[in-house]
Amino acid sequence: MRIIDLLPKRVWEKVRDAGIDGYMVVIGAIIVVFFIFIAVFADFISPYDPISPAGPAVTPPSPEYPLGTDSIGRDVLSRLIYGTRTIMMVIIISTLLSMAIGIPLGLISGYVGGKIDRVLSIIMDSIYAFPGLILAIAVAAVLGPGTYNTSISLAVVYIPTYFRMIRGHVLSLRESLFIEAARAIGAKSSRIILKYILPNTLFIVTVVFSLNVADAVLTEAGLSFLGLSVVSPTPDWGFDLKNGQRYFLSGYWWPVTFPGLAIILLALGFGLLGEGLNSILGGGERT
Amino acid sequence: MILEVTNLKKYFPVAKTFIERLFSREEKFVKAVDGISFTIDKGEIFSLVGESGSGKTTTGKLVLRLIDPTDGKIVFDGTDITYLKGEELRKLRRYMQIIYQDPYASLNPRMKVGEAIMDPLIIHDLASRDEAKSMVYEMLEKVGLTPPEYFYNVYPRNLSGGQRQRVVIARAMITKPKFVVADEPVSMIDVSLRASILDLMLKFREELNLSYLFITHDLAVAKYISDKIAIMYLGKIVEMGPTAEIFRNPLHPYTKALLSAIPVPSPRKKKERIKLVGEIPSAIDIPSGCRFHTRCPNKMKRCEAEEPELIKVSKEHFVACHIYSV
Amino acid sequence: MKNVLEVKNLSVYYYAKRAVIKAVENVSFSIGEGEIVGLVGESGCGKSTLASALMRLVPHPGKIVSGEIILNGKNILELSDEEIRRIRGSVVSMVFQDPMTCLDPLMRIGDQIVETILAHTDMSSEEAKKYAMELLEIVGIKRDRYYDYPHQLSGGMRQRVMIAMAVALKPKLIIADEPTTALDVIVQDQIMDLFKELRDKFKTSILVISHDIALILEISDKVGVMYAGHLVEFSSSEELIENPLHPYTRELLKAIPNIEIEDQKLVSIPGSPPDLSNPPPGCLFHPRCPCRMDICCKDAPPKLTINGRLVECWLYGDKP
Repeated sequence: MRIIDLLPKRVWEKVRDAGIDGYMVVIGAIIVVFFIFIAVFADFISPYDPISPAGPAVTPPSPEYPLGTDSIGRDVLSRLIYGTRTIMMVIIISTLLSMAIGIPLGLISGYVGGKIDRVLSIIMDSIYAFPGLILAIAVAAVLGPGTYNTSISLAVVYIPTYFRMIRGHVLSLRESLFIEAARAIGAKSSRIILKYILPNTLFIVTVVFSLNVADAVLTEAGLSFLGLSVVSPTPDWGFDLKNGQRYFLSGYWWPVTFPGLAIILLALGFGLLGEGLNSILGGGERT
Repeated sequence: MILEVTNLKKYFPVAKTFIERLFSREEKFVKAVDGISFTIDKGEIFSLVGESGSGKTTTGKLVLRLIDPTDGKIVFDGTDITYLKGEELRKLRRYMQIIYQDPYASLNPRMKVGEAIMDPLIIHDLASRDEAKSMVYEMLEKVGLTPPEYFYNVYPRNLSGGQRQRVVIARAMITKPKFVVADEPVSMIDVSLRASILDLMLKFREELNLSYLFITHDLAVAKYISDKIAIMYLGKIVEMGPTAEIFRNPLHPYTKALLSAIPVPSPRKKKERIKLVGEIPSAIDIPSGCRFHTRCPNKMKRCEAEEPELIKVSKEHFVACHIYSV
Repeated sequence: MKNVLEVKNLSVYYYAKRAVIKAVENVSFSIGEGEIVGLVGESGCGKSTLASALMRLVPHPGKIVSGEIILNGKNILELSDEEIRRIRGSVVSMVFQDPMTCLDPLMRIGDQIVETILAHTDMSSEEAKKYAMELLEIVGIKRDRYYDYPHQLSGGMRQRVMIAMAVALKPKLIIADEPTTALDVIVQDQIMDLFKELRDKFKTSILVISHDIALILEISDKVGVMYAGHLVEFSSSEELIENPLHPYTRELLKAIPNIEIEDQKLVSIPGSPPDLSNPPPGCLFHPRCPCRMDICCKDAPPKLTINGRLVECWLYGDKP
């Protein structure tokens, strides 16, 4: 049973046939799965405990400390590995929150229209108008640090995106013949939204998700860089980045570089996956 | 009588340009349906024939209350549904169904065939899930989608146009409706498959004593399937009567022109064609008097000023034309 | 009578990622001068692909893989791009189904006709304009409508404008692909009359492609029936109606409602057209054929000529 068999067959066929976009999706997926793997099996992979010092401070990369140690002597590699968990958790929780709020609101707003739609749209557009990081900072400043609070801060930033994309798609779907047919059968609005509209918006959700997550990685890194994310000593890439930068000019490049590379790589992975999927699936269903 | 329509009208407001809004108070309307009346008996197939822009599709939607009428009365099975809304209207829908022209667009692409056909039963609480499933299997057999086990689990995108239309019919018939509006149900189906779809519809008529409002531009199909025909032109019915009578003895100049224009697959080249001048006027700017006068080869002075009423010419034959009014 | 068009063993395939779709397979027929030939068939039969191949306009990923298309004596498959461009519009031109998508909404219709004329001739603008007005008259549009925009015309009139453009350079052959499908039956009748007029006045040959069998039978001198990429029958329309040879043609004729027949029993052909990316062996029609024989399931039928009529069917023996 190959992993490929688990994917919906149609998606896999499209990926396989899609040329460059297909490669993007596959490479992106590999990167993301790689990081998920690390996050899940951190306990088994990590050579040292990320919180307590493992050796002398700022030692360069060596066989003993493959990526060196940071300012307090903690192993950089171990911190990176456990840091994956942190960022993954924040990303996942915040994304689930964004979807849980943004999607239903988008569905209702798009299908029902009227005053509800106008009010919600104005609220969402206002939130959307803020640059993501600024908004996240503002919310994080109010809520304070911590994994769950950070997740909420991030969620707020991305709710409008889900809302708008879903709402837009619902607006066009609403005029479809099969929706009118559903009304003609006698279906209530709630049933139409749940059984007729929602399933047809799921692929949009996938696309929005994969595009957003790349952005979320960077926003989270930004928050933690500013110290607004998780509480020390929780391993966190952005936090390590900030700590490490003090030593960079003195020639200690590894406390900064490796967390930075990790952030870029994860963002890249999600980005490739998202862009690739977007081109393939979003290109329209062609029969 | 399953359906009685009286003086039904539907006007769609036309969006005005900025300048128009500044300088004119007059509202412009697309008079899609401009006062039609007809009745359909139980078990009767009534065809509404007309070209695009005649108002026939709008009539179909009005009769099912998928859109609101501007004026007139619609009585369905004894109930006045003209202004019915909400739950009451929704509950009635199990008795009145629709079959659309486009089998590709009228099915939910994310719903399996079995779920789609079962949906009306669930919506109207007509059966438990298990009962419903066996009813769907039965229905799949009836519409010729066998083996039912296969078709139950398949998605519409894996089916051909003819098969999808059968699914649509199955879904429409499963609640045992009394009345079905069929809007060009075979226009998008390959010719070699049309007869089977039409015969399927006839079969259900037999079984359920079902009435149809059959909407089409194809007079030949209308002749094949209907008991009664009404010809529509620019929002009004110009002639109405039993099918055989209309074909044997067409009265209205438009009907005659339509009949003569139908291509006939016959080696002997044709009888005289009735030539009409011009084209159908816009429904925003309906001609005065008889709306057909701008193209009528038999136009009289009276036709430009006075709109003819639909009058009874013989037992069931009605026509709206000054040639026949006293 | 000289042949304006001779198609010999034409095959057009679409190369999709996973499969090859044989949209047109080994089709041969000819069109004489001043003849109206109709091509009829259902969805997926290949008639539109054939039409586009005749102008070498097959869209990607389609390719003309074999055969000859001899237009006015020259095999257009051997011409250079420049030569074929000169031929399009002047020797052979096309009228499509939906005129609204073919006309520039921002340009007056008269000017659009003039554009076509100027692109292919040496006429001056004034001469071209005068000629365009004549063309409008020929197709039954009042001269003063030269200055109208497409949206001001009805569907039927727009189609006439397309026909005016198609006729402008006095082509030998006009290909009309579903020219009246979007029009009402009365306008359709008028357009068909126009075709006949063009044929009578200018000796233009017309290839009409449609799924409306009754229409094709009424207007054409000769009719070709296509099924799943094959031309299964080709003969004069009278012979086709009186004595259809191919079982598909026979069943098809029984499937169309004819208002002149009382109490007609319409027939349906069971099954559906084959999947062209994975066609059945032997004759492509055999799964649905009421006259199916053993050999039909195994070998593709030969192309036979019987009394000047083309048919592709095992029923008629194996001597070509």
